[in-house]
Amino acid sequence: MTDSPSSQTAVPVRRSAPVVKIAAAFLLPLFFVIAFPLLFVGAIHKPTPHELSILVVGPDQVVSQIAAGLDGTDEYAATATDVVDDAKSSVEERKVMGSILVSVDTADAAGNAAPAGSAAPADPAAATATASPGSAGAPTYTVTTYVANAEGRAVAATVTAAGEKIAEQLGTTATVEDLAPLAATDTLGVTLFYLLTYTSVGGYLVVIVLMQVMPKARLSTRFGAVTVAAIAAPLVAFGLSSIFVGDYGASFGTIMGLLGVIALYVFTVGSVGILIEQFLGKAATFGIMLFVVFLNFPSAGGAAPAAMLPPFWQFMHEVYFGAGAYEAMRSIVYFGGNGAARWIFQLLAWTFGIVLINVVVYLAKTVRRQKREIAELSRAATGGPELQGQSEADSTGDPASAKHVKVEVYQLYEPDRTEDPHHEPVRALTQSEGETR
Amino acid sequence: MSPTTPGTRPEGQHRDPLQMPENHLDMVVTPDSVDPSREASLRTRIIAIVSMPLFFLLAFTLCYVSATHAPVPHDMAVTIAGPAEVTSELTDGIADQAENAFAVTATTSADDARDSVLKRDAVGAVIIDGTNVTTIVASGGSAIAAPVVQQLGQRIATELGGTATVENVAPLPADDPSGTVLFYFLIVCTVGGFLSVTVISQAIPKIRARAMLATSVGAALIVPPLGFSMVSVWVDFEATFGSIAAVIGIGMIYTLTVGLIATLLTLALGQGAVLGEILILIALNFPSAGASVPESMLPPFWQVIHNGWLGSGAFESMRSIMYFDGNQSGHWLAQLLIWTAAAIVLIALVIIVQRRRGAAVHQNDGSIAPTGPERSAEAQAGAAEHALVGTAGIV
Repeated sequence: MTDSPSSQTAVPVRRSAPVVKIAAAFLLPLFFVIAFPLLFVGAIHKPTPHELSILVVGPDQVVSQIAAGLDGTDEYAATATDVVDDAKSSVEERKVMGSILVSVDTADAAGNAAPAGSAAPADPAAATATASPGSAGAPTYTVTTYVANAEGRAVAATVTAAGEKIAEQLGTTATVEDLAPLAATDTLGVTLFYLLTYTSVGGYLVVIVLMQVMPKARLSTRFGAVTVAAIAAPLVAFGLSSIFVGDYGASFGTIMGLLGVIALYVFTVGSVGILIEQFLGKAATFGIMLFVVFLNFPSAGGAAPAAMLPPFWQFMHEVYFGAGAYEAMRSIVYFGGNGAARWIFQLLAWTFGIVLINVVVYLAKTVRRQKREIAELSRAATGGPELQGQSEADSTGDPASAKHVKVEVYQLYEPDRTEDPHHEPVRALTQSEGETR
Repeated sequence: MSPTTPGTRPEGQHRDPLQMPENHLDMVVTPDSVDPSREASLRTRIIAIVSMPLFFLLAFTLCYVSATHAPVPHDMAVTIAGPAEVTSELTDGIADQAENAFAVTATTSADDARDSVLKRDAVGAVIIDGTNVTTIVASGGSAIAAPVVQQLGQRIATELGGTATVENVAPLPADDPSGTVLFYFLIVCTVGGFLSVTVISQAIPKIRARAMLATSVGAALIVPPLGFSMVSVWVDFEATFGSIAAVIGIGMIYTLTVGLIATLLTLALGQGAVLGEILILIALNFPSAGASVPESMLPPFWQVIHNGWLGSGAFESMRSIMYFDGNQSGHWLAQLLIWTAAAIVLIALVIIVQRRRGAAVHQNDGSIAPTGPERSAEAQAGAAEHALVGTAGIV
């Protein structure tokens, strides 16, 4: 990173007309009043399953039709398998949102080996859901629905409803087993999302405050502040929330993993804030609100599970950094880390990408600014009217063709021009150094 | 002219250290307001960079998580209708098995039980007819509380050896199955209200109180209709025009109240107003509103806040109008109006006090001193951005 010395050019203090200033000021509340309902409310007001992944397990001749029926709707993306072990493992490993195990016993096979492709109930509780024996030779079905409330209570409820419907069609009732229950202190499953949102505030607020108290801070200073926030914010937010939520019953390593992901996320948020500030300057608040809040929070999968979001927001969930962080946090806390790598990779891609773009933009802006300053000073050296005194370290050749130019400008005298309405006061000394080509 | 770089600290002025005179927080939102030749002192930088994010983290985490992390019924009002001997036994059983969870009222009239839910005297009701049990719920009152009542009815039915049917007397619209959209409308009104006052106080450094009051009125007239229109892009509340108009009207009163409180805090606290606004209008206001978690399932502390705060006054009155034919909206509207009136009185008091103080300074110094309101408003410090981005964290 090549932070050039910040040169203090003569900056006139410009003031907008009061009416324009006031009108511009009201853009901020107007932006919130319009963007929040359109984006945030639009995403999460009505959680409905869209292509919710579900696995139907059982004999092929039974479950293939069931899976096809579910898959034919917009609500589910169903697949079928006869591998009984997949019923649990696919949910625990976050490959699907839920699974439905259909076991079949024929009445005349009682006490004997089950027919090929059939399965015994996965657990003793499931035996209670066995349909009443029918006539001799009629199959008896057992339906067990495997859900994960940690995927979202609405998702679990949807999978449960699907299991009940299948059981009803098969003339039985379904039992439900929660393979990833929520912590007793997190019954709504919202506390991880709170962690995400509050630590986000820590990340981008540092950038905004820094922009205000140190408007010319170097890039390294900004990233330094963001790094500190990335370390402190997760500790503070988790420490405070643990007063009420506890530790989710998780191990030390799990919590450290959680804090690590949050720290990476906060750093990414801060980096996004810095980049937006580089592009938008004082209007950065609008960009931060749009990219870090209005697009990020609804797509994260916390306010509404990804499987229940509209298609546009599901796409955002698959690519956005907040979703990467939130789903990784969920994997670590509630799924023993299963599936975390894919989401951490999504987050990391943003982290590296944003940092890289930040550096490139900063360098480009720095070079451009230096070229502009040198060109201005070169013009001034040939007899500009504004400055009364100046010296150039290298004035022997043509400034435009010089490879290296160092210029110092001293404001030695400024006549009293208070009578001149067009007068713009020169506020600072100027020193600049750089290359021209 | 001195050949040195212009200083950032005004010379010869004794300043309150809390006012952070040399920072840029007071001129960021408005265009062309940042003077890049000035930089804040190290102390100001540290105070601003550390304190602001830390305040938001503390306020939001402590308030929101403590209020909403694991909602359970606390004295949830439930009416049980049936033969006296049955309801008496059930009431005792519920009190024994779930202490302090339910506040049960027994009656022999099924109509009274149903009316108690419709009139919002109870969150739900269980009507017993032999072994048949009818559970009366109102998801419009809360989508979280309704299942709790439903479970209670199911348990009673199981105990009586019968079955339970569920009747929803105040259903939510199909477009809002979780019942959160009215809360989002409340958020829009809140942020639109206080942000308008904050930005105008930044855009006009010497702003007078009446200008802020006018802004509050303007925000109250514009924000609720605009915000509701935006919400309506997605949600059909399935309500009459009169109900919608009444809800927007409540939103106007609420937005006005929020604007008045922001004005009051700006006049009284100057730069500290943003912290006061976040505390009063967001950190204490949103969790206690009864939206994310209904009052009957909030912890006791938050139940107390709910029964006195402005946000709950607005939200519950909107809910009454939208889903309960206006039942009990008067009570909640009165709660909101008390805040409105109190804010007006306090603003008047602050203006009087600051004018007298300004006059006293004028007499002592023999010079023209800025009056309190103007000086305080000038000290507003980047509040708009802090408030907005902070608020975003909690929505």
